[in-house]
Amino acid sequence: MENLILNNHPDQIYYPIISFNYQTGICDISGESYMEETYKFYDPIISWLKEFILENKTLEFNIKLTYFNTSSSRFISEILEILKKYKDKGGDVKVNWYYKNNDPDILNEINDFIEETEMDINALVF
Amino acid sequence: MLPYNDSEHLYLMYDGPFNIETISTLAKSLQDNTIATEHVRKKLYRVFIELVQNVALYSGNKILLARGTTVGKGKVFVHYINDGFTCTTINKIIKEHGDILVENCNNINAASSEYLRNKKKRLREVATFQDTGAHIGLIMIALYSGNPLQFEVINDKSTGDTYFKISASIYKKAYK
Repeated sequence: MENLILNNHPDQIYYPIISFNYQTGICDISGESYMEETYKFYDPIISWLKEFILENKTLEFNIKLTYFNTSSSRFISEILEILKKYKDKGGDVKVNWYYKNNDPDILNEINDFIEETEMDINALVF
Repeated sequence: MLPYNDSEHLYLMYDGPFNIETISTLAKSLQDNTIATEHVRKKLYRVFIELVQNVALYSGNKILLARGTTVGKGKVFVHYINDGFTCTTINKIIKEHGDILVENCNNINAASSEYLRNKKKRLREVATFQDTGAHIGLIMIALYSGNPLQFEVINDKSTGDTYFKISASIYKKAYK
């Protein structure tokens, strides 16, 4: 299994930067997410995660999204649900969500995702 | 509400297809160049994108792009007023959708933010993977702006076309 690295072009800030490391289990998603045809972007990300958790490795999922549109939020929710199922089966998984302290809208979103998916998320100011 | 063609207070206007490159450029310009706190600029940025992506997805007037995809066409106006900003979009709709949109907006305006957050979670749970907008864009616009949606269904008698106009305001003094 290979690392999943997706770097956005400077003119395409509507795609987040993806850095999923197979060796360390550290998976980062950062930037913004409001692209067209959202499922085409998130499908390979979700497939990678599903394949990764089959190996029962430690997983640290770091979210540093400063904006995501409603369509992207559906896929973020799906990712968190996958991680929750992994945790419920005994998987070693930790989710950190970094946000700026002057951004209560993102903190509200984090809390809503916690309630919605029942996945523990560490909300961390950066 | 300011008339959308009020040029004195007009900060930005655009009329055309809302492809992602255009949305991103306009939104980034708004976020980078408006005079307001970072918090207000973030809210303006998010409200703007949610509004225009609704046009991109649901406008009754579609345009075929060179890359082979279609995208909605419409208008957006951002007005600068002393105490904040108002974003307005106008796009063609199917006449029968007018009553549904008005009902949705009235329901959103009548609800508390807590109710809207819970409704957003419920809608997100039932949205399908290939759902383009998860149908919660209007709720997010209301939550981000913190103000009631202003909306109107416009029937153009000369053409028989129907348009939906919606505005969201962000006030600076509410977010110091």
